[in-house]
Amino acid sequence: MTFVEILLTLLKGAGYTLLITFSCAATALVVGLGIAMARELGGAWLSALLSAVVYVLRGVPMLVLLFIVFFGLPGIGLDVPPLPAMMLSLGLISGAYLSEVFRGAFAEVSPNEVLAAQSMGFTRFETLRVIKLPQMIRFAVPGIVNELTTVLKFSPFAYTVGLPEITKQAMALVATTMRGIEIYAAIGLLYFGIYRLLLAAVQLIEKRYSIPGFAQE
Amino acid sequence: MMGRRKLLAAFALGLAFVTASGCGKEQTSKVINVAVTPASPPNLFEENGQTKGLDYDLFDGYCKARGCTMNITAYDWQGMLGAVVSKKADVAFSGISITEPRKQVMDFSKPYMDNSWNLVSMKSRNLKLANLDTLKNYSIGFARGTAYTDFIKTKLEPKGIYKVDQVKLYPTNNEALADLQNGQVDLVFLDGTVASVYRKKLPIQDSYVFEGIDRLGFAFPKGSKLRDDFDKYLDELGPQKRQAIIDKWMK
Repeated sequence: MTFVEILLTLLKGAGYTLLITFSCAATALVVGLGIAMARELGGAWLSALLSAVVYVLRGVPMLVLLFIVFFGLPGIGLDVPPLPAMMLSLGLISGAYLSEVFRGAFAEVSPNEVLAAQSMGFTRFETLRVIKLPQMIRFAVPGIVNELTTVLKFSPFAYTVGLPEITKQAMALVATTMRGIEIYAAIGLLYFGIYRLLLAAVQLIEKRYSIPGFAQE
Repeated sequence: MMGRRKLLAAFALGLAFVTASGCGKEQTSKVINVAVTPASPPNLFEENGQTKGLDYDLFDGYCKARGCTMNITAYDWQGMLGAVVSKKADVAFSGISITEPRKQVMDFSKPYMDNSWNLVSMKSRNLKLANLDTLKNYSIGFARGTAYTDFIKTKLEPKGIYKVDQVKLYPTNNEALADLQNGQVDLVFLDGTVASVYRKKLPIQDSYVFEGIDRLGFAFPKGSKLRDDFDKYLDELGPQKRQAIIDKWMK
Protein backbone atom coordinates (compact mmCIF):
# COMPACT_ATOMS: atom_id res chain seq x y z
CA MET A 1 0.00 0.00 0.00
CA THR A 2 1.56 3.27 -1.12
CA PHE A 3 1.25 6.60 0.68
CA VAL A 4 -1.16 7.81 -2.01
CA GLU A 5 -3.37 4.76 -1.48
CA ILE A 6 -3.37 5.45 2.26
CA LEU A 7 -4.45 9.03 1.59
CA LEU A 8 -7.23 7.86 -0.73
CA THR A 9 -8.54 5.38 1.87
CA LEU A 10 -8.55 8.05 4.55
CA LEU A 11 -10.29 10.51 2.23
CA LYS A 12 -13.42 8.33 2.52
CA GLY A 13 -13.80 9.80 5.99
CA ALA A 14 -13.09 13.38 4.94
CA GLY A 15 -16.69 13.99 3.89
CA TYR A 16 -17.89 13.15 7.41
CA THR A 17 -15.16 15.27 9.01
CA LEU A 18 -16.26 18.23 6.87
CA LEU A 19 -19.94 17.58 7.60
CA ILE A 20 -19.31 17.37 11.37
CA THR A 21 -17.08 20.46 11.35
CA PHE A 22 -19.51 22.59 9.36
CA SER A 23 -22.67 21.55 11.21
CA CYS A 24 -21.02 22.03 14.61
CA ALA A 25 -19.45 25.32 13.51
CA ALA A 26 -22.85 26.55 12.27
CA THR A 27 -24.47 25.55 15.57
CA ALA A 28 -21.66 27.31 17.45
CA LEU A 29 -22.04 30.52 15.43
CA VAL A 30 -25.81 30.62 15.93
CA VAL A 31 -25.58 29.81 19.65
CA GLY A 32 -22.63 32.17 20.21
CA LEU A 33 -24.31 35.05 18.39
CA GLY A 34 -27.61 34.36 20.14
CA ILE A 35 -26.04 34.43 23.60
CA ALA A 36 -23.89 37.51 22.88
CA MET A 37 -26.82 39.47 21.41
CA ALA A 38 -29.20 38.47 24.19
CA ARG A 39 -26.60 39.68 26.68
CA GLU A 40 -26.43 43.02 24.88
CA LEU A 41 -30.19 43.44 24.72
CA GLY A 42 -31.47 41.62 27.79
CA GLY A 43 -31.61 42.82 31.36
CA ALA A 44 -29.52 41.85 34.33
CA TRP A 45 -31.45 38.62 35.00
CA LEU A 46 -31.10 37.23 31.48
CA SER A 47 -27.45 38.24 31.43
CA ALA A 48 -26.76 36.45 34.71
CA LEU A 49 -28.57 33.34 33.50
CA LEU A 50 -26.63 33.27 30.22
CA SER A 51 -23.35 33.82 32.09
CA ALA A 52 -24.15 30.75 34.18
CA VAL A 53 -24.90 28.70 31.05
CA VAL A 54 -21.64 29.77 29.42
CA TYR A 55 -19.76 29.07 32.67
CA VAL A 56 -21.07 25.50 32.79
CA LEU A 57 -20.60 24.79 29.06
CA ARG A 58 -17.02 26.03 29.11
CA GLY A 59 -16.25 23.82 32.08
CA VAL A 60 -17.78 20.55 30.86
CA PRO A 61 -15.36 18.24 29.02
CA MET A 62 -16.49 17.62 25.46
CA LEU A 63 -16.56 13.81 25.80
CA VAL A 64 -18.62 13.97 29.00
CA LEU A 65 -21.32 16.13 27.39
CA LEU A 66 -21.30 13.91 24.29
CA PHE A 67 -21.82 10.80 26.43
CA ILE A 68 -24.65 12.48 28.34
CA VAL A 69 -26.40 13.54 25.14
CA PHE A 70 -25.86 10.38 23.09
CA PHE A 71 -25.89 7.57 25.65
CA GLY A 72 -27.64 9.27 28.56
CA LEU A 73 -30.67 10.96 27.03
CA PRO A 74 -32.09 7.68 25.56
CA GLY A 75 -32.54 6.70 29.22
CA ILE A 76 -35.24 9.34 29.58
CA GLY A 77 -36.75 8.50 26.20
CA LEU A 78 -34.91 11.08 24.07
CA ASP A 79 -33.08 9.31 21.27
CA VAL A 80 -30.57 11.67 19.66
CA PRO A 81 -28.93 10.58 16.37
CA PRO A 82 -25.11 10.90 16.13
CA LEU A 83 -24.81 14.16 14.17
CA PRO A 84 -27.32 16.15 16.28
CA ALA A 85 -25.58 14.71 19.35
CA MET A 86 -22.33 16.24 18.12
CA MET A 87 -24.10 19.54 17.46
CA LEU A 88 -25.61 19.49 20.96
CA SER A 89 -22.24 18.83 22.59
CA LEU A 90 -19.39 20.21 20.47
CA GLY A 91 -21.67 22.85 18.91
CA LEU A 92 -22.96 24.11 22.27
CA ILE A 93 -19.55 24.14 23.98
CA SER A 94 -18.00 25.91 21.04
CA GLY A 95 -20.93 28.32 20.98
CA ALA A 96 -20.24 29.21 24.61
CA TYR A 97 -16.61 29.98 23.76
CA LEU A 98 -17.67 32.02 20.72
CA SER A 99 -20.13 34.03 22.83
CA GLU A 100 -17.14 35.18 24.90
CA VAL A 101 -15.23 36.06 21.71
CA PHE A 102 -18.25 38.12 20.62
CA ARG A 103 -18.54 39.76 24.05
CA GLY A 104 -14.95 40.95 23.75
CA ALA A 105 -15.53 42.15 20.21
CA PHE A 106 -18.69 44.05 21.28
CA ALA A 107 -16.56 45.86 23.87
CA GLU A 108 -14.26 47.05 21.12
CA VAL A 109 -17.03 49.00 19.37
CA SER A 110 -16.50 52.71 20.09
CA PRO A 111 -18.87 53.93 22.84
CA ASN A 112 -18.98 57.33 21.12
CA GLU A 113 -20.69 55.79 18.10
CA VAL A 114 -23.25 54.11 20.35
CA LEU A 115 -23.84 57.45 22.12
CA ALA A 116 -24.25 59.18 18.74
CA ALA A 117 -26.78 56.55 17.64
CA GLN A 118 -28.77 56.96 20.86
CA SER A 119 -28.86 60.76 20.46
CA MET A 120 -30.19 60.23 16.92
CA GLY A 121 -33.11 58.34 18.46
CA PHE A 122 -32.04 54.76 17.54
CA THR A 123 -33.72 52.07 19.64
CA ARG A 124 -31.49 49.56 21.46
CA PHE A 125 -32.21 46.93 18.83
CA GLU A 126 -31.46 49.33 15.97
CA THR A 127 -28.17 50.36 17.62
CA LEU A 128 -27.23 46.69 17.92
CA ARG A 129 -28.21 45.79 14.34
CA VAL A 130 -26.83 48.82 12.51
CA ILE A 131 -23.94 50.07 14.64
CA LYS A 132 -22.61 47.36 16.92
CA LEU A 133 -23.12 44.05 15.04
CA PRO A 134 -21.43 44.95 11.72
CA GLN A 135 -18.33 46.21 13.53
CA MET A 136 -18.31 43.46 16.16
CA ILE A 137 -18.29 40.66 13.56
CA ARG A 138 -15.27 42.20 11.83
CA PHE A 139 -13.41 42.55 15.14
CA ALA A 140 -14.25 38.93 16.01
CA VAL A 141 -12.82 37.25 12.88
CA PRO A 142 -9.49 36.10 14.40
CA GLY A 143 -11.32 34.65 17.41
CA ILE A 144 -13.87 32.94 15.16
CA VAL A 145 -11.13 31.29 13.08
CA ASN A 146 -9.46 30.09 16.26
CA GLU A 147 -12.68 28.52 17.51
CA LEU A 148 -13.52 26.91 14.15
CA THR A 149 -10.13 25.17 14.03
CA THR A 150 -10.83 23.87 17.53
CA VAL A 151 -14.12 22.46 16.26
CA LEU A 152 -12.25 20.72 13.43
CA LYS A 153 -9.77 19.20 15.85
CA PHE A 154 -12.52 17.98 18.17
CA SER A 155 -14.39 16.31 15.29
CA PRO A 156 -12.74 12.88 15.91
CA PHE A 157 -15.00 12.57 18.97
CA ALA A 158 -17.72 11.77 16.43
CA TYR A 159 -16.17 8.30 16.09
CA THR A 160 -17.24 7.58 19.66
CA VAL A 161 -20.86 7.94 18.56
CA GLY A 162 -20.35 5.97 15.35
CA LEU A 163 -19.67 8.53 12.62
CA PRO A 164 -16.98 7.12 10.28
CA GLU A 165 -14.81 10.24 9.97
CA ILE A 166 -11.10 10.46 9.07
CA THR A 167 -9.69 9.33 12.40
CA LYS A 168 -11.90 6.21 12.40
CA GLN A 169 -10.62 5.27 8.94
CA ALA A 170 -7.05 5.77 10.18
CA MET A 171 -7.54 3.61 13.28
CA ALA A 172 -9.16 0.81 11.29
CA LEU A 173 -6.33 0.97 8.77
CA VAL A 174 -3.58 0.96 11.41
CA ALA A 175 -5.18 -2.09 13.04
CA THR A 176 -4.72 -4.22 9.92
CA THR A 177 -1.54 -2.73 8.41
CA MET A 178 0.39 -1.65 11.56
CA ARG A 179 1.87 1.25 9.59
CA GLY A 180 1.06 3.85 12.23
CA ILE A 181 3.62 6.51 11.38
CA GLU A 182 2.66 6.81 7.70
CA ILE A 183 -1.06 6.68 8.38
CA TYR A 184 -1.03 9.23 11.18
CA ALA A 185 1.21 11.48 9.08
CA ALA A 186 -1.36 11.17 6.30
CA ILE A 187 -4.28 12.23 8.49
CA GLY A 188 -2.15 15.08 9.80
CA LEU A 189 -1.84 16.27 6.21
CA LEU A 190 -5.58 15.86 5.63
CA TYR A 191 -6.50 17.87 8.72
CA PHE A 192 -4.03 20.55 7.66
CA GLY A 193 -5.65 20.61 4.21
CA ILE A 194 -9.11 21.05 5.71
CA TYR A 195 -7.77 23.79 8.00
CA ARG A 196 -6.34 25.61 4.97
CA LEU A 197 -9.71 25.29 3.23
CA LEU A 198 -11.48 26.77 6.25
CA LEU A 199 -8.98 29.59 6.51
CA ALA A 200 -9.29 30.39 2.80
CA ALA A 201 -13.09 30.52 3.09
CA VAL A 202 -12.95 32.91 6.06
CA GLN A 203 -10.37 35.12 4.34
CA LEU A 204 -12.56 35.28 1.26
CA ILE A 205 -15.55 36.41 3.32
CA GLU A 206 -13.38 38.85 5.26
CA LYS A 207 -12.09 40.39 2.03
CA ARG A 208 -15.56 40.59 0.52
CA TYR A 209 -16.89 42.57 3.50
CA SER A 210 -13.78 44.56 4.32
CA ILE A 211 -14.15 48.30 4.75
CA PRO A 212 -11.15 50.40 3.71
CA GLY A 213 -9.60 52.13 6.72
CA PHE A 214 -11.74 50.23 9.27
CA ALA A 215 -10.02 49.05 12.45
CA GLN A 216 -6.77 50.75 11.57
CA GLU A 217 -7.17 53.93 13.57
CA MET B 1 -59.32 28.10 7.76
CA MET B 2 -60.82 24.83 6.44
CA GLY B 3 -57.88 24.46 4.10
CA ARG B 4 -55.39 24.73 6.87
CA ARG B 5 -57.25 22.22 9.03
CA LYS B 6 -57.42 19.74 6.17
CA LEU B 7 -53.72 20.16 5.57
CA LEU B 8 -53.03 19.54 9.22
CA ALA B 9 -55.16 16.39 9.18
CA ALA B 10 -53.38 15.12 6.10
CA PHE B 11 -50.05 15.83 7.73
CA ALA B 12 -51.04 13.98 10.89
CA LEU B 13 -52.30 11.04 8.84
CA GLY B 14 -49.05 11.01 6.87
CA LEU B 15 -47.02 11.09 10.04
CA ALA B 16 -49.02 8.23 11.52
CA PHE B 17 -48.55 6.22 8.33
CA VAL B 18 -44.82 6.81 8.25
CA THR B 19 -44.32 5.82 11.89
CA ALA B 20 -46.60 2.79 11.54
CA SER B 21 -44.88 1.51 8.42
CA GLY B 22 -41.52 2.21 10.04
CA CYS B 23 -42.39 -0.03 12.95
CA GLY B 24 -43.81 -2.74 10.75
CA LYS B 25 -40.71 -2.88 8.63
CA GLU B 26 -38.47 -3.38 11.62
CA GLN B 27 -40.40 -6.41 12.74
CA THR B 28 -40.78 -8.24 9.44
CA SER B 29 -37.32 -7.99 7.82
CA LYS B 30 -35.47 -8.01 11.19
CA VAL B 31 -32.71 -5.47 10.79
CA ILE B 32 -30.29 -5.94 13.67
CA ASN B 33 -28.29 -2.91 14.75
CA VAL B 34 -24.74 -4.06 15.31
CA ALA B 35 -22.02 -2.09 17.10
CA VAL B 36 -18.38 -2.99 16.40
CA THR B 37 -14.86 -1.64 16.82
CA PRO B 38 -12.96 -2.41 13.62
CA ALA B 39 -9.56 -2.29 15.35
CA SER B 40 -9.69 -5.79 16.85
CA PRO B 41 -8.23 -8.27 14.37
CA PRO B 42 -8.78 -11.19 14.00
CA ASN B 43 -12.15 -10.89 15.78
CA LEU B 44 -13.21 -7.82 13.91
CA PHE B 45 -11.50 -5.53 11.42
CA GLU B 46 -11.98 -3.76 8.09
CA GLU B 47 -10.27 -4.62 4.83
CA ASN B 48 -10.94 -2.49 1.77
CA GLY B 49 -13.96 -1.03 3.52
CA GLN B 50 -15.36 -4.52 4.19
CA THR B 51 -16.15 -5.60 7.76
CA LYS B 52 -14.56 -9.00 8.43
CA GLY B 53 -13.40 -11.33 11.15
CA LEU B 54 -14.13 -14.26 13.42
CA ASP B 55 -16.97 -12.57 15.30
CA TYR B 56 -18.48 -11.30 12.08
CA ASP B 57 -18.51 -14.82 10.60
CA LEU B 58 -20.26 -16.21 13.69
CA PHE B 59 -22.97 -13.57 13.69
CA ASP B 60 -23.28 -13.71 9.91
CA GLY B 61 -24.00 -17.43 10.33
CA TYR B 62 -26.72 -16.58 12.85
CA CYS B 63 -28.28 -14.02 10.51
CA LYS B 64 -28.22 -16.43 7.58
CA ALA B 65 -29.96 -19.07 9.72
CA ARG B 66 -32.61 -16.66 11.06
CA GLY B 67 -33.09 -14.49 7.98
CA CYS B 68 -32.03 -11.16 9.42
CA THR B 69 -29.74 -8.46 8.12
CA MET B 70 -27.03 -6.55 9.95
CA ASN B 71 -26.88 -2.79 10.13
CA ILE B 72 -23.27 -2.31 11.23
CA THR B 73 -22.04 0.88 12.89
CA ALA B 74 -18.37 1.30 13.77
CA TYR B 75 -17.67 2.97 17.12
CA ASP B 76 -14.52 3.29 19.18
CA TRP B 77 -14.31 0.82 22.05
CA GLN B 78 -16.09 2.92 24.70
CA GLY B 79 -18.71 4.04 22.19
CA MET B 80 -19.42 0.42 21.21
CA LEU B 81 -20.05 -0.62 24.83
CA GLY B 82 -22.09 2.56 25.40
CA ALA B 83 -24.23 1.77 22.37
CA VAL B 84 -25.25 -1.60 23.83
CA VAL B 85 -25.91 -0.26 27.31
CA SER B 86 -28.09 2.57 25.95
CA LYS B 87 -29.86 0.11 23.58
CA LYS B 88 -28.72 2.06 20.51
CA ALA B 89 -27.37 -1.27 19.29
CA ASP B 90 -29.02 -4.70 19.56
CA VAL B 91 -25.68 -6.49 19.79
CA ALA B 92 -21.97 -5.67 20.00
CA PHE B 93 -19.04 -7.89 19.11
CA SER B 94 -15.30 -7.27 18.60
CA GLY B 95 -13.69 -9.79 20.90
CA ILE B 96 -15.42 -8.51 24.03
CA SER B 97 -14.37 -10.15 27.32
CA ILE B 98 -17.11 -11.25 29.70
CA THR B 99 -16.47 -9.44 33.00
CA GLU B 100 -18.49 -8.94 36.18
CA PRO B 101 -18.75 -5.12 35.92
CA ARG B 102 -19.92 -5.42 32.30
CA LYS B 103 -22.45 -8.12 33.24
CA GLN B 104 -24.15 -5.63 35.54
CA VAL B 105 -25.06 -3.36 32.64
CA MET B 106 -25.35 -5.77 29.70
CA ASP B 107 -26.22 -9.39 28.96
CA PHE B 108 -23.64 -11.70 27.42
CA SER B 109 -24.09 -14.71 25.17
CA LYS B 110 -22.47 -17.99 26.18
CA PRO B 111 -18.68 -17.74 25.87
CA TYR B 112 -17.82 -18.56 22.27
CA MET B 113 -14.06 -18.79 22.74
CA ASP B 114 -11.34 -18.78 25.38
CA ASN B 115 -8.75 -16.09 25.26
CA SER B 116 -5.39 -15.74 26.90
CA TRP B 117 -4.00 -12.43 28.12
CA ASN B 118 -0.47 -11.78 26.95
CA LEU B 119 2.01 -9.27 28.28
CA VAL B 120 4.13 -8.61 25.21
CA SER B 121 7.46 -6.81 24.89
CA MET B 122 9.92 -6.02 22.13
CA LYS B 123 11.99 -9.07 21.08
CA SER B 124 15.14 -6.96 21.33
CA ARG B 125 14.60 -6.50 25.10
CA ASN B 126 14.59 -10.31 25.58
CA LEU B 127 12.25 -9.90 28.53
CA LYS B 128 10.79 -13.15 29.90
CA LEU B 129 9.00 -13.31 33.22
CA ALA B 130 9.09 -16.71 34.94
CA ASN B 131 6.70 -15.43 37.63
CA LEU B 132 5.01 -12.20 38.65
CA ASP B 133 7.45 -11.20 41.45
CA THR B 134 9.34 -8.68 39.33
CA LEU B 135 6.33 -7.37 37.41
CA LYS B 136 6.12 -4.17 39.45
CA ASN B 137 9.51 -3.06 38.07
CA TYR B 138 8.04 -2.67 34.59
CA SER B 139 5.53 -0.25 33.12
CA ILE B 140 2.43 -1.81 31.58
CA GLY B 141 0.29 -0.15 28.93
CA PHE B 142 -3.00 -1.09 27.29
CA ALA B 143 -6.11 0.28 25.63
CA ARG B 144 -8.50 2.29 27.79
CA GLY B 145 -11.85 0.70 28.67
CA THR B 146 -10.55 -2.86 28.39
CA ALA B 147 -10.94 -5.62 30.99
CA TYR B 148 -7.31 -5.43 32.18
CA THR B 149 -7.96 -2.52 34.56
CA ASP B 150 -10.50 -4.58 36.47
CA PHE B 151 -8.19 -7.60 36.43
CA ILE B 152 -5.27 -5.62 37.90
CA LYS B 153 -7.50 -3.97 40.49
CA THR B 154 -9.22 -7.12 41.74
CA LYS B 155 -6.58 -9.82 41.16
CA LEU B 156 -3.11 -8.25 41.16
CA GLU B 157 -3.42 -5.22 43.46
CA PRO B 158 -4.63 -7.09 46.60
CA LYS B 159 -1.63 -9.45 46.29
CA GLY B 160 0.74 -6.51 45.94
CA ILE B 161 1.80 -7.62 42.46
CA TYR B 162 0.87 -4.50 40.53
CA LYS B 163 -1.00 -1.24 41.09
CA VAL B 164 -3.59 0.28 38.75
CA ASP B 165 -1.86 3.66 39.25
CA GLN B 166 1.25 2.31 37.52
CA VAL B 167 -0.66 1.58 34.33
CA LYS B 168 -0.37 3.67 31.16
CA LEU B 169 -3.64 3.94 29.24
CA TYR B 170 -3.98 4.46 25.48
CA PRO B 171 -6.95 5.05 23.14
CA THR B 172 -6.42 1.71 21.34
CA ASN B 173 -3.88 -1.13 21.09
CA ASN B 174 -2.23 0.69 18.21
CA GLU B 175 -1.03 3.62 20.30
CA ALA B 176 0.09 1.29 23.10
CA LEU B 177 2.15 -0.71 20.60
CA ALA B 178 3.57 2.46 19.04
CA ASP B 179 4.77 3.52 22.49
CA LEU B 180 6.19 0.01 23.04
CA GLN B 181 8.23 0.34 19.85
CA ASN B 182 9.39 3.79 20.96
CA GLY B 183 10.56 2.35 24.27
CA GLN B 184 8.15 4.48 26.35
CA VAL B 185 6.48 1.45 27.92
CA ASP B 186 7.97 -1.96 28.83
CA LEU B 187 5.00 -4.29 28.46
CA VAL B 188 1.68 -4.10 26.64
CA PHE B 189 -1.37 -6.17 27.55
CA LEU B 190 -2.89 -7.80 24.46
CA ASP B 191 -5.55 -10.45 24.00
CA GLY B 192 -4.06 -13.73 22.78
CA THR B 193 -6.10 -13.33 19.59
CA VAL B 194 -4.79 -9.84 18.93
CA ALA B 195 -1.25 -10.80 19.86
CA SER B 196 -1.33 -13.61 17.28
CA VAL B 197 -2.03 -11.03 14.56
CA TYR B 198 0.52 -8.48 15.74
CA ARG B 199 3.30 -11.06 16.20
CA LYS B 200 3.26 -11.54 12.42
CA LYS B 201 3.80 -7.84 11.79
CA LEU B 202 5.88 -6.59 14.70
CA PRO B 203 9.08 -7.89 16.39
CA ILE B 204 7.26 -8.62 19.66
CA GLN B 205 7.18 -11.66 21.94
CA ASP B 206 5.15 -12.86 24.93
CA SER B 207 6.83 -12.04 28.23
CA TYR B 208 4.08 -13.56 30.33
CA VAL B 209 0.79 -15.25 29.48
CA PHE B 210 -2.30 -15.42 31.73
CA GLU B 211 -4.41 -18.46 30.80
CA GLY B 212 -7.94 -19.49 31.62
CA ILE B 213 -9.20 -16.18 33.01
CA ASP B 214 -10.78 -14.64 29.96
CA ARG B 215 -13.73 -15.71 27.85
CA LEU B 216 -15.21 -13.78 24.96
CA GLY B 217 -18.91 -13.22 24.45
CA PHE B 218 -21.36 -11.31 22.31
CA ALA B 219 -22.79 -8.36 24.24
CA PHE B 220 -26.52 -7.57 24.27
CA PRO B 221 -28.64 -4.96 26.08
CA LYS B 222 -30.17 -6.06 29.40
CA GLY B 223 -33.14 -8.39 28.96
CA SER B 224 -32.44 -8.99 25.28
CA LYS B 225 -34.53 -11.69 23.57
CA LEU B 226 -32.01 -11.74 20.75
CA ARG B 227 -29.44 -12.99 23.26
CA ASP B 228 -31.52 -16.07 24.07
CA ASP B 229 -32.00 -16.88 20.40
CA PHE B 230 -28.30 -16.36 19.66
CA ASP B 231 -27.37 -18.73 22.51
CA LYS B 232 -29.73 -21.27 20.94
CA TYR B 233 -27.95 -20.78 17.63
CA LEU B 234 -24.53 -21.37 19.24
CA ASP B 235 -25.90 -24.70 20.58
CA GLU B 236 -27.25 -25.60 17.15
CA LEU B 237 -23.89 -24.78 15.58
CA GLY B 238 -22.09 -27.14 17.94
CA PRO B 239 -18.49 -27.01 19.21
CA GLN B 240 -16.88 -28.55 16.11
CA LYS B 241 -18.28 -26.08 13.62
CA ARG B 242 -17.60 -23.18 15.99
CA GLN B 243 -13.98 -24.31 16.43
CA ALA B 244 -13.62 -24.54 12.65
CA ILE B 245 -14.55 -20.86 12.35
CA ILE B 246 -12.14 -19.94 15.14
CA ASP B 247 -9.32 -21.95 13.57
CA LYS B 248 -9.93 -20.33 10.20
CA TRP B 249 -9.04 -16.91 11.67
CA MET B 250 -6.50 -17.88 14.33
CA LYS B 251 -4.17 -19.93 12.13
